[in-house]
Amino acid sequence: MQTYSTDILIRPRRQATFPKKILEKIDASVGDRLAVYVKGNNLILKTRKQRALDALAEIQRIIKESGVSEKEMQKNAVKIRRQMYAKRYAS
Amino acid sequence: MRSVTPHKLFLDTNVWFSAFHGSANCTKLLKAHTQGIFIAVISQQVIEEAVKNIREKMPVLLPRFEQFMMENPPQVVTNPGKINSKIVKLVDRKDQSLFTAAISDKVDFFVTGNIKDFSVEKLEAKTGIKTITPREAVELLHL
Repeated sequence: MQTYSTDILIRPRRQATFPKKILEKIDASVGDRLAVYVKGNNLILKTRKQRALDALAEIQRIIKESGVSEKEMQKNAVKIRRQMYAKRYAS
Repeated sequence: MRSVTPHKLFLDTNVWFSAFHGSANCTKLLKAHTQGIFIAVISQQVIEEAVKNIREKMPVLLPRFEQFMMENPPQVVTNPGKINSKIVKLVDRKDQSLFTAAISDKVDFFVTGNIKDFSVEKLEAKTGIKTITPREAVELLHL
């Protein structure tokens, strides 16, 4: 993974401007919200897209470690769907 | 320059769970949705099924699932009050409410890992919605 760095000046009223190139590197643009994490003396900025991808990776990790099979989850989902149909739409 | 409207794909609950279990095609679809390559559509029932399933089978997963859905929200369609009469004989009973929701939102494709429960050609002729597998969706979107 390549590392890019730049200086950002914090102006009066604590405002700052991100260079276009930096935003392009993280696939962010004007109007996007960034999550800010403080880790020690370091700041980590993440886009919403990246947070979603991180959450998906975490879900996949938890499931892999759980040992619950896809077959078991899918089978239970079908059972739940049949119950919902019976409750809401079966006449 | 002419803008191209992205496809609207209804993602069945089984697509989400396959992605969570690491299916390559379903993971590609969820990532493409995150990148805005297509518009992912679900109905309220998809969320209800997923939450109930996770609560019953793996409750520890629920906070991450909620976070994922909030960071990357699909378009959510209201559950239909009644089943669309056009599809009654073409879709397995349990899946009819989801397909009815897909019709109401005028999606282009219905993506499911359980395609055997859908009369694909007749459904397309009657509703204009093509029912496809996750693999076909990946090919369609050139992922």
